[in-house]
Amino acid sequence: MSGGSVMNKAARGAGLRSARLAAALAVITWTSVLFYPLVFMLSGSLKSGPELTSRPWGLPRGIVLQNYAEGFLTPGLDTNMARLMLNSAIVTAGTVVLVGLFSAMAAYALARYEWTLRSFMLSCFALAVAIPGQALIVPLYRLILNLGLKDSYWALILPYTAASLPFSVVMLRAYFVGFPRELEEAARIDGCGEFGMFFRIFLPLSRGGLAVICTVAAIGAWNELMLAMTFITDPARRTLSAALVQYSGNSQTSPNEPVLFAILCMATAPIVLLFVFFQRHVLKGATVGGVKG
Amino acid sequence: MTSFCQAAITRGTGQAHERRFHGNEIVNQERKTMFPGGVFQRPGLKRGLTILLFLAPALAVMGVFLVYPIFDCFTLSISRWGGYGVPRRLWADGGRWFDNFRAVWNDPYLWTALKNNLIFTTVSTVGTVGLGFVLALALESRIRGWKFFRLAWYLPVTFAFVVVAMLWWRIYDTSGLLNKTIAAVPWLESFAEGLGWRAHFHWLRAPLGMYCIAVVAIWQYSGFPMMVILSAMDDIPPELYEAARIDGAGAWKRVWHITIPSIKETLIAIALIQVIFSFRVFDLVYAITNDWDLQVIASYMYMVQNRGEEAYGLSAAVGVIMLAVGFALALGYVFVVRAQQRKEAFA
Repeated sequence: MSGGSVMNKAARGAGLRSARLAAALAVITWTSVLFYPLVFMLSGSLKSGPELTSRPWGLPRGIVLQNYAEGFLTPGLDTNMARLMLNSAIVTAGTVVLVGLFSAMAAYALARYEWTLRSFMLSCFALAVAIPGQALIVPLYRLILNLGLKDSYWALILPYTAASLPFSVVMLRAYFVGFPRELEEAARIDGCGEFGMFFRIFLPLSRGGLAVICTVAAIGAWNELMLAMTFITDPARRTLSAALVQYSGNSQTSPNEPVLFAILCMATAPIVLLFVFFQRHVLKGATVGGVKG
Repeated sequence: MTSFCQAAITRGTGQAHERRFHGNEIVNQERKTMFPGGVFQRPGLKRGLTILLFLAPALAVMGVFLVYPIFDCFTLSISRWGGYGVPRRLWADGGRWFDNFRAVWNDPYLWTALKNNLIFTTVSTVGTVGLGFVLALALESRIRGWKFFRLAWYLPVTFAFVVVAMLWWRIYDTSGLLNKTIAAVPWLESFAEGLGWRAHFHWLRAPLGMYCIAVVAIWQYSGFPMMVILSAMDDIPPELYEAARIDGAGAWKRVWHITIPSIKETLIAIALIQVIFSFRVFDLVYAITNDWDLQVIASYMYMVQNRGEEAYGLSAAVGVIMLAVGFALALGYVFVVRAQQRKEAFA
């Protein structure tokens, strides 16, 4: 990608001024449109109730940190933000670990061995990407009840894992296929067994690919709403998304807007931090086709 | 949910895209590395067991939590079930086989939901891909700080739909930011009133509401097509632009005659992905409104569970419809990609 950009730059360094101006204008406009609602949210979370009603637009006059303290206790939800985030984090972490390990193993079998049903199996995984997971909510609910998993974290971790696996396997397989064969030959000559090959050579070397699928699975698991609302009704185990919807349903009748804004900011902060921290991998996940080594 | 699936498909298209553009190179590389086994791999039972062992965990989880529920979805869709106990088959319970399907088929809200899906899908697909293209074009000239903007514009994609929906509810609400802003600016107010705006206007009410919700999706998701289109633009050989410039083509002509034709496949692919995944939208719509007139198929499926004591069968029937449409869309996607590849092969 970077190689191309340098050449493009050279080719069009003398580009028309009007085109450059239009580009700058588009960038400024879109950045303001995109960020204004976020500024509104952040500044709203620091205002007092009356100020938010009378002057919703600008920056707060006096900072009311009380909103965050109150929001942290999530009035009306019998729990607090830390607990909700912990629940979401447990579900997300469980999903990420299972998706990472299982998809890497399956992708390894699909990429490094040749066997009869291999291409058929690969098509099955590719086809399974097309299943809209939420359409299965009723049969999944019945399954969760029958397995006695309702209100446990597994009720979410396992369906999320199943929904993420097809895409992760297809993607990691493409990643494994690109590894040079000399690597494998060298390891075999050194006496590496089948599992040693996977755990000692392939897993450590595929950190980049694993980071992409894990980030993507994490975003999905952290945000999911429909299954989270249905499979977990115990307030102490609700995930953040599900609790937020419930809170918003309560608060629309008796709103304390600044507190709600504070809750939204607190719910967004960890994701923004993770994004900035893992930006390289997230961006790669989005454009992986266009990135050439 | 949506974002990770989107990335999934992109991965596939990106591959296809790359293979088409750099055909021989990639194929040769694959041939060299795909089957490294050869002399070093022991054939036989032990090898078969190893393969099975590597595949087993993934297949087990997917089998139980993805494939089995598909079959169960069909049986539940012809059953009466209230979320507890044993579902009873309709024909054994004084009903007919397809009563659930008949009930949702005759429910006007199903058709409202499908119509809303159509509006949402069309507006958000055209909006995100169109805007994504414009934004990618703006960054493609390598404007100062383009790396920062690329990152910043992608940021909302990672937000929870729930958070975004609750934020935008505060904007669209009758006493929300939008109405207050319009009321506060005199010329804007008179202009809006000319278009039929009144104080405390209900933005989130049919028929306008669905478009307003689609705008939220455009706001949140344009960064994703932007990213994909930008990387496709970087693959265009600079010689093409060079030649066009020597021929005296202006900037706009170069966009029209070189950029767009060169990334046509990517544009089609990303549009199809947006169609497939905006069809699945749930969180955004459900969290922003509970108006039956403004639901989409997924939220209709969720809300129909509360229609009476034993309405889970209805929901399963909607689930079957959703699965069918979802698969049809995915097959359409595969079909278009295949057709493109065939065209390339003959070209």
